[in-house]
Amino acid sequence: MWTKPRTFRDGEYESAPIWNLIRDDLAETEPAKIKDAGRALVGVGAHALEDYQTHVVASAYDLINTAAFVDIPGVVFPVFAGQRWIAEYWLQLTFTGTINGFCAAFTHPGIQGSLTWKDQNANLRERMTRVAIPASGVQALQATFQGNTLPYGSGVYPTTSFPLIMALEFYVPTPGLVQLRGRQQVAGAAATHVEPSLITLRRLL
Amino acid sequence: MATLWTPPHTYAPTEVPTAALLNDDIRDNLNETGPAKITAAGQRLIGVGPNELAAYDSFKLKTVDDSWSNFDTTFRDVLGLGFNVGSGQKWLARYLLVFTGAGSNGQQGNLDITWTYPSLAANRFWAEYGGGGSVPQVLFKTGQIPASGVRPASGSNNTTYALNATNDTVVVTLYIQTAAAGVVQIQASQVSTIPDANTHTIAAGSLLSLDRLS
Repeated sequence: MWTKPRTFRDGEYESAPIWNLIRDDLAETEPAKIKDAGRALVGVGAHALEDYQTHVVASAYDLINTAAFVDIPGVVFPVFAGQRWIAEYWLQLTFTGTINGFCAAFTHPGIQGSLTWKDQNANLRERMTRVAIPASGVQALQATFQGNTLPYGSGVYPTTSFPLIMALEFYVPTPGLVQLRGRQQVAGAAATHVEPSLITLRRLL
Repeated sequence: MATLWTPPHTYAPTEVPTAALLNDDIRDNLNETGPAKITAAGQRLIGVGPNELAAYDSFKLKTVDDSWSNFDTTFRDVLGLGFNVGSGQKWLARYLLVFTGAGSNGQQGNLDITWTYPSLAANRFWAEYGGGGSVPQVLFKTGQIPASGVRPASGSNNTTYALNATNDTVVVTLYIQTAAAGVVQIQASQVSTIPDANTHTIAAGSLLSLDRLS
């Protein structure tokens, strides 16, 4: 535990307990708390720091003939009771041939908060949607993105790649994993390609 | 670079600390702490290894206007919004660009953007910007920076960006994983397919917010 740095007096320099107070303070500093690369610090109380992972990068993943939700491998992070987070999912959805769409869901340990996402409508216009995270937790949250209509809009920007940014803001009552799941909106052999499955994480509490 | 941090020493009741021990245990460890790493206002800290921190600039504020006039389709640096990277790092760079300019039909912005950069292991960006036309709208696109470092021919695919903003803010978020050290520099030009005689500006007050992820 960190204590207010001591004001030394003459003759105290040979006192092991005083040196050990310095030891205890050093043990609460930033480098002592950083476990590895890619981690940052957050205050968790007066004079108390904890580190947390700043991001998740998973490999691209294809959904093919996927009518039921499946875990998107690696797009997952752990949370612990009492924490509050903002997790931003930075995705690109790419289709080859038929655009079979994408639906997202999460498994989670009963986190409480909201999900905001931005995607395109059929004319490439941005749209934003916000929903509460159901208290029941497991796979109760579902968002549907982009139908199976070619979103050529005016025809100036022919593309079969869609941006999707999701922001999950939540409090954690019980520990567990927050796992992104996905399925095709219309199950088919033409892949729904999800990449790069980047999550940036900011722990608030 | 190996960390200089060592686990804090526990002093025995009869132990008389030596200078060498104090230098290792206190001086060297204090040199690894946050205030020792921070060298300027606006910096943040990121873990770059076990018990090892690095400071980085968390934002860049543009203080001068950059303009493209008279059919100027040459990509040039957007001054003040470059940032240094090392090899093997991951960054999320969010550009909040203030576009101003003359014109009509929503083409007051009429600028394309791209980047120059060192070798990258991965990159992707997401762009939100005002679309042309009389009805307010936000276009939303994603893609990878073209390998050459400049955008391809207009209209060819999803890596083409005609940011026809209407005196508005353009938000572009860039994710990169670096394979070499260097400078990541955003550039702009008039849209090559529809250049015009007007002046189009990325204005002072534009901001780059940086998150180093590793």
